[in-house]
Amino acid sequence: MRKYYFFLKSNLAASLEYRGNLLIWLLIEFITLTSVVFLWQAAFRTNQLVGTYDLQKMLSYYLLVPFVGAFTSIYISDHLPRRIKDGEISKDLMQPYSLAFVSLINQFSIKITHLSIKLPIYAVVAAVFYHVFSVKFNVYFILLALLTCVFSYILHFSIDYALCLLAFWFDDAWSLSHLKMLTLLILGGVSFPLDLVPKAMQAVFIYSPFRFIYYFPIKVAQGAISFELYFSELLALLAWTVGFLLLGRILWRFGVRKYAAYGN
Amino acid sequence: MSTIEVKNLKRYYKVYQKEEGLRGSIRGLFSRKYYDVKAVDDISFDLEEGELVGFIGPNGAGKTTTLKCLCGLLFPSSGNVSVLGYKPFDRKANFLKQISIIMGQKNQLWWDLPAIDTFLLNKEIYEVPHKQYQAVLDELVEMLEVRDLLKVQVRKLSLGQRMKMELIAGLIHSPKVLFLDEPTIGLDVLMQKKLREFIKDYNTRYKATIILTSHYMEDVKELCKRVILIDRGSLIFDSSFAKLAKEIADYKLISFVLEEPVEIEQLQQIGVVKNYDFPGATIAVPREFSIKKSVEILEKLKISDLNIEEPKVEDIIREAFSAEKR
Repeated sequence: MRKYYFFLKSNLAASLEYRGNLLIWLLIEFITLTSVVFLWQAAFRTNQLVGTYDLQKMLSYYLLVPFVGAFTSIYISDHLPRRIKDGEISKDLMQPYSLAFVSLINQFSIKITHLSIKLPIYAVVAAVFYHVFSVKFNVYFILLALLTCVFSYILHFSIDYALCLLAFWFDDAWSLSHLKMLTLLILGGVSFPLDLVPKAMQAVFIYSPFRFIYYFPIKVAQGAISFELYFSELLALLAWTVGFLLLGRILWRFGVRKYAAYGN
Repeated sequence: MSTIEVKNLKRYYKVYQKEEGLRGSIRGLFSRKYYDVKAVDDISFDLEEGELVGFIGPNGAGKTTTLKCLCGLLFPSSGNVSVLGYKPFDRKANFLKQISIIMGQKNQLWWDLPAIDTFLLNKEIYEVPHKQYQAVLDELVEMLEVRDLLKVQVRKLSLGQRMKMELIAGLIHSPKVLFLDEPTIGLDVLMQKKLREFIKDYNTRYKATIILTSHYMEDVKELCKRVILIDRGSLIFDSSFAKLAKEIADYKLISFVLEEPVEIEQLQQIGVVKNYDFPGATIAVPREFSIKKSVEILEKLKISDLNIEEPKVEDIIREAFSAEKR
C-alpha cells in the first residue's frame, strides 16, 4: 500500500507545478456558481414554483450540483482510452502495481487539489446564499451526503474504468467519455433535478446507476431522503458498484491479451 | 533451467489495411480489410544467467515484439516462454520485480518532476529497502555522472541526460534480467560509448542477463559475444559473433593507397573490388590468402600504404540477411 501512497504524493506534487491551472479552476467555479443564481432568479420572476421547487430549493440544488461533483467526479475516460490505444500503458504493465488502483489514486490526488480551491468558494457562496436568498443547509445532512459521496465516487470510478477498458477492442473508445458526460447530464441530475421529469421517465431513470453520482447525494444533502429509503438506495448503489467492478475485471483479463503495445 | 527459455514462440497480429485518401476512409466505415502479420514466427532460443546477447534484425523483423513477449507485455499467439521460471504474461509481482525493460527514446519518467522523484517512487513500487536503494542509486549516479541533474525537471533535460535517468530508473531495483530496446538511439557518439561501457560494467558486476536490440553495430561489436539474428519473424542465426564472422565473412579487406591510377580490371584480378576511388582502394580476399594477396599487391602495384582489416560488422550483418533472403 505504501507504493500507492507515493503515487498520491507524486501526483499531488505534479499538480502543484502549474500554478496558472489552480487560478483558472478558481475562476471557473466562481463563474459557474454566480451564473446559476442569475439564471434561476430570472426563471422564478414569473413563477413561484417549478414542480415542487421554490427559488430557495432550486438554488440549494444547483449549489449542491458542483459541490457534490467536486467529490464524485472522475475523469479517467478522457485520457486512459487514448493511452491504451497508443500503447502508453506498457510502462504500467511492466511494473508491479494495479493500474486500476493507481488510476483511482491519481484521480483522488487531483480531487484533493481541486477541493482545496473549491471548498473555500463553496463556503463563501453558501454564506451568501443563506444571507441573501435564505437558502439553508443542515450540517448533519451535509455530512451524510459527504459519506454518500464516497460511495458515489467509487461507483463513478467503476463505471468510468470499465468504459476505458473498451479501448482494448475499440480504437475510438475515447468518444465514450463524451457519451458518459452527456448521460450524466441527463440521467445523473446535473442539468435538472430528476424529480422534475414526468413520472413515466422517472420509472425508467430509477434503473440507471447514474442517478447515484449526483442526484442521490444532492437529495441526501437536502434532507429529502427518508431513513429507510437511504439504506435501500445505498444497497442499490453498492450492487451497481460491485457489478461494474466485476465487469472491469473481466474486461481487463481479456483486454490485456489483445493489447498490442503499438508504438511503445 | 535456463534464465530465459523460448520455445516455438509465435505472435501474429491482424492489421487493418486502409486505402488511401478520403474515399478510403469512407469505405472503411462500412467494410474493412484485415491481413495477418507474422511478427514472430516460431522462434526458439535459451539464455543463461549473465549472458549479454545482441538481438539483431532489420526494421520490422520482430525484435521488439519478441522482447515484449519475453517481458510479458504481449500475449503470445502460441509457444512457450519462461523467464526466471515465470510465465511472463502472468505478470506476477515477483517476476516484475526482477526484470526491467528500457526502450530508447521512450519516456518512463514523470515529465513534470525531477528524476529523483521517479526514483523514489520506483523504490516504493519495487519495495527496495532504503539502504539498498541508496547504495544502488549512489553507484549508478556516479557511473553515469548525473548527480547535478537529479533535481532538475525531466522535461528540461537533454535526450542523453534523460536516457541516463531512464537507465537509473530502470535499474534502481537491481533487476536480474534487462531488456534494452535500442538504448543508444538518437544519442551522440560520446554518449553511446559511455552507455555501452555502463551496460558492460553492469552486466559484469551484477551478472544480469541482458538482451540488447540495436541498429548500431558498434553496440553489438563492443558488448555482445553472442548474437541472435532475426528477419521477418524467423531466427536465422544464433551463436557467437566470432562464428558469425567466420561463417558469413570468410574474407578479409585489404585497403591501400595507390601512387598512380590503375585499371579496375587489374584490381579485380587480385580480389573482389569493394571500393576504388583513386588514390584509395579496398578489395576483399579469402581469409587464408590475405598475406599472399598483400604480397601480390605490393609486387604488382605502386602503393604508399597498406592495411589488412576484418570486415565491418555492418557488412557481416548485411550479408547474413542477404544470404538468408537468397
